Amino acid sequence: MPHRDRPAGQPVAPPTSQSRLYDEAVEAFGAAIERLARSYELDEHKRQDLLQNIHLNLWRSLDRFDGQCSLRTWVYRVAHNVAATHVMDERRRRSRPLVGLDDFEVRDAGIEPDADRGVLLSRLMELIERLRPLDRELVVLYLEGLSAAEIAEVVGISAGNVATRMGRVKKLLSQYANEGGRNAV
Amino acid sequence: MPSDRAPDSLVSAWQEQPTSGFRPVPADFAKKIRRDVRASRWGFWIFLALFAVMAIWAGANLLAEADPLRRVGHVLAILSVVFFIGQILVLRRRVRAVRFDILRTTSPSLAAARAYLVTRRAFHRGRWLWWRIIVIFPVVPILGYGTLRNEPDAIPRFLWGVMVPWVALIVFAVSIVQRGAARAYERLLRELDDIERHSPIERFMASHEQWKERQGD
Repeated sequence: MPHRDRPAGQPVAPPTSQSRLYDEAVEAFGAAIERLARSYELDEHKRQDLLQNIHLNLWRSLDRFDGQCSLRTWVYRVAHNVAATHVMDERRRRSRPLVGLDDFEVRDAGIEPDADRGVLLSRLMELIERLRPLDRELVVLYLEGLSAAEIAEVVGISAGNVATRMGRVKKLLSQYANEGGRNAV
Repeated sequence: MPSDRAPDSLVSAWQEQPTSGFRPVPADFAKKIRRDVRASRWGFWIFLALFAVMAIWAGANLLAEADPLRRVGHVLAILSVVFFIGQILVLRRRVRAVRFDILRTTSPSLAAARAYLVTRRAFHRGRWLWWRIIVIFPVVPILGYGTLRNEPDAIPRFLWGVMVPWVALIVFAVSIVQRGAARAYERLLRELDDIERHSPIERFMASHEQWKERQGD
């Protein structure tokens, strides 16, 4: 039997600009935040906590949002920072090491040509989960459809550096898609 | 033989994966839901223990009973217990998927809270509410008639002293407790609607910061 210590209606305060920005950000990028959280945490329950933390930090950070960059860039920055911290905290509890893009090798065919999207995504998640935070961020932002210049703005490294790394990302994903990733190292 | 998948297929698979539209639940509301989930869990074990005692009692009487009519009464009592246990197991299975979301995360999502409340409300106000308890109705009359059929004078006393309170108890259990619970879940759902429609994000976040601080103490 549920408890009833509060009436249904809550007094509603007028939304602040911070709240409006938050609503706008969640409306436009809520799904992207969820996909990002999924790429950083495979465990469903831990992922809910990660999502909660991202939302909390996003709301807090929007108080400082000055429009110097786009809202999208801001959202991705905050989300990746929180998620990267989460990964590093989790890494301490795991024995499996994270690898960089340059250390990743795709061997052997793993994804069957007619594999459905569920299989494809699941393998993709396995690949992303093995990457170090910065490389993971690059792969996720590429998959989200950001340009190299936009990725550079989010990640905070030079456009040239991003372009070089993006070449490696595309090659890796291409190999992964064509040759499979079951035995990726 | 390599396939001809291009990274574009990965990009579209990535971007088109389903999402739940996560929004956090304010901590005060989440606390209510958690309290209800925990209370339900305890309720399940208490009911299970109670039903087990009833089943053992009816089973022991069935073995010792010689009168065929009273044996039928004991068999029906055992069937009622099995039927009730089945009902609460069904409810338990339905809420299991969201129960973990609610108990094990810092904040359940609105979707998990809603799924839990809708399931509970549906259970308590289901169309088949009376069918769930119908098996128990004949138990007392059959046992009573089996005992008193050779003493016609005692039957009126049995009717007023046992049958009327028995039926009243069942009507009370169903109409008051069950429907009351359904209304209470309905109120929580309305509160959730209200949160989704109106509550400013400050309430979400301020309450969560307090919640997390309390967790850290």
